[in-house]
Amino acid sequence: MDHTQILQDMAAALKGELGNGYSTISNFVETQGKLLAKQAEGIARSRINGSLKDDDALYHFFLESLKHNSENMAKSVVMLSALTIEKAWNAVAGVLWGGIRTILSGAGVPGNLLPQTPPINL
Amino acid sequence: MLWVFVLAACTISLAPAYDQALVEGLDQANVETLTLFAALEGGSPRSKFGDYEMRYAGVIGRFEALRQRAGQRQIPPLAARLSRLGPVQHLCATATDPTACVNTSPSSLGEVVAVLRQMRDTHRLRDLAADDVENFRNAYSPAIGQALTVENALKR
Repeated sequence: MDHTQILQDMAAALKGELGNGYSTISNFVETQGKLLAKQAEGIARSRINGSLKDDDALYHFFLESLKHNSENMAKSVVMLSALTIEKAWNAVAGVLWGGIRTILSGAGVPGNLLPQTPPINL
Repeated sequence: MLWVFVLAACTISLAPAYDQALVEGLDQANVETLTLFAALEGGSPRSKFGDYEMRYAGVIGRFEALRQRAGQRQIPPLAARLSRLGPVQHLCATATDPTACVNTSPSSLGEVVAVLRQMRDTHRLRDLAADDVENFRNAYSPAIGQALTVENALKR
């Protein structure tokens, strides 16, 4: 295995993980956007001509709920992004470690000194 | 050359481990709750609250237990440090929840529990109109969607 092959494998691993992560986050944002819009529409409709017309306490509860759901959605996007970064890093480190194992094994380093996966987890 | 070796030798963890029991519990509680919403879809008079009281207690208790389980799991040290980074600090490092962005499900499930409690209390006090049920379901759906998406994404 030469360094060009290792770089190509690293790029492929990175592209795969970033692509999957982007797809997950994009679908999540789209779905949540629709649900939050539906929540807001329902509250407005009920306030104008429904059960919330005369129920201020419940109306304010639903507004607070909409705010909490929006904040939690933003936090979830940060978490999904962190997960994507984690997977991308680990995929690249895994390919690089595999390349190093191959090179070191070829140079005569005993196999039991070279674990299958990167040995340090931060 | 040494840095390449160090880079290759290190994997990172930026979120808690996948918890299969938590995901299964969420699926089960979600089915029970959607069934409750379906039963109440056309609205329900206050006089019928007694018929639903135990079902409310069941789903509230179940989600509360799942929220506790999600809140008590271990957060990787690197993930905890991530919350204090400049760009996300304002959103993610609140005094009450310093790991808000690396373990988001407790907060989403807290919202689920708040919505179901409010629905139960409203039903206990007055007739539940059809649009009340729709509004409660509309408040429930984004919160459970967040928890399900994030917990499934942790499988890696």
